[in-house]
Amino acid sequence: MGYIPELIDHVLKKGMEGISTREGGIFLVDRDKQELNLRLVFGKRDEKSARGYRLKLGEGIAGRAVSEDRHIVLHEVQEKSFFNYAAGTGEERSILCVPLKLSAKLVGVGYLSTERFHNFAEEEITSWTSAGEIAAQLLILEDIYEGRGDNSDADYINRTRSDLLMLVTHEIRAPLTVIKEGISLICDGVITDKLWEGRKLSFLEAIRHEIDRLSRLIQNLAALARMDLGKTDLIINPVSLTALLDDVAELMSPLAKKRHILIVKDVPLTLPDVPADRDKLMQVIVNLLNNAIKFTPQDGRIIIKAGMEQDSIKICIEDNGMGIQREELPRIFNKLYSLNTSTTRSSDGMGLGLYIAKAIIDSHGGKIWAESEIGKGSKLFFTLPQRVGLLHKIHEEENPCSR
Amino acid sequence: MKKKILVVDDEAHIIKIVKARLEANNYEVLTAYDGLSGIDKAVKFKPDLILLDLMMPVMDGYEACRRLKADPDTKGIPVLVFSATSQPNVIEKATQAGAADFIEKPFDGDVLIYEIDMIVNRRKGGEKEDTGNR
Repeated sequence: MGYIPELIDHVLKKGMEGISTREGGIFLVDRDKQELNLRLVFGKRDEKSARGYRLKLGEGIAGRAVSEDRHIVLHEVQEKSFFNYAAGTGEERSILCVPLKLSAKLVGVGYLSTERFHNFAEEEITSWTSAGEIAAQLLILEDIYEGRGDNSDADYINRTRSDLLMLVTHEIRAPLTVIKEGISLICDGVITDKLWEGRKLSFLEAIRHEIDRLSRLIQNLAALARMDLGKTDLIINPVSLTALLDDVAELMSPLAKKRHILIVKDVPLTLPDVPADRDKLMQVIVNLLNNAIKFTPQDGRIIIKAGMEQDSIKICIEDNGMGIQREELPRIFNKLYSLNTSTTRSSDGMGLGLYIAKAIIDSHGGKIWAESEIGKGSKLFFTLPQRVGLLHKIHEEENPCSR
Repeated sequence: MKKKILVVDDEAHIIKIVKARLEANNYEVLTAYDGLSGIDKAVKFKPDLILLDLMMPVMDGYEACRRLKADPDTKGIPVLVFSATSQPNVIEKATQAGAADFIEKPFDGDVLIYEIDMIVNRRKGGEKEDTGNR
């Protein structure tokens, strides 16, 4: 498990992007002792002396973030003694503490402090929370491999691992059932007379659909494997979003048609090219559309919008499906979130799509988020920075439309 | 008269191919897309057998099976569970919920028909059913 510390480092850096941090760290909850154990520190403090620091639940801001189960932001911090260790040497001005949860269970606290006043934005809090949760999961995983940690966490990780395996198995078996049976119905002469002619074609269509579903699953699993290894090998070229959105909408239209869902595009032809990895970007849009189709009822509609906003291109995929609970919104891009909800049921695709979309958009320096109203539908947005300088530098050596 | 099979599965394509296989073997097929509407149809149409998926929205197969077995109107209808799940104790859980047997997805069409014939005929006192294309 030698790559875990590197992976944690990578994840946390992503999670505090844009914040000029003085110090940060991750506490894990020790249930036996009802304490928080400081497991990871980075920044100005001497890490060796800080690791292993313990706080009672409810003690300090870190302890309060756990006992009150909410994030806490402190501004203009002066009093050293006020907030105890997490985090305090008297030089901080703003502090953020967020409770970290895995599968709705509180497992720790992530904190960040800044030397100058910093007004933590909602997005920054969300992003630090997701990074902290991934880091906490990795720390727990590391404990298990090294024989530390309490058993309930070990159970949790084992459960997550077997959940993932079970989910993947299910997601392979279900389409295989259709492919195998569909083919034997046609080949074994079960369907012979004229009456069945029309149905033969519909079986072939079903088989094609299920093969596409398997391909999407495999793409997502491959992307997940790459991300777990921390590799982000982007092949950047100027990409025309207008063309790309056309391609994706066409690709997804059989699936949408099958459910009588209308896909409407509201994309200006004048949209400038954006420097991006075309294949990966395509995967993002496919995943978002797939998600929208999954949660839109029959006869629903999906609107794809794109436009310039300052120096970025902003894309919105809007559906009129069931919507997402407000408190769930920041968590839908979380791998564990998807896993835990899709064990109850994912009818098409295994729910990793949004997590992967976020990772790809992050690696492009963009942002991804969701807005929703229950019963009215959801809007998933992402932005891509339009760095003109980069565009000029990359000459069209390679065919930018290569797939 | 043709025997009636109620197929309950949330995946339309699976319903489509199972329906074709059953109809080719001289069964009449009713369908439902979740556990709850499966129960409704079972009460309404009294099928000779229910082919029941496990992982479904609204109400999963285990719960549907338990309710079918708790209702005097439907408890006599044999339930054959078929699922793509790989939960270790799935057969035990399905049996506990009252299922007559379990078939794993992907299945062999002939095996599915064999199982269904067996259960349906056993219930009707072992009379031989015309299974058409088998």
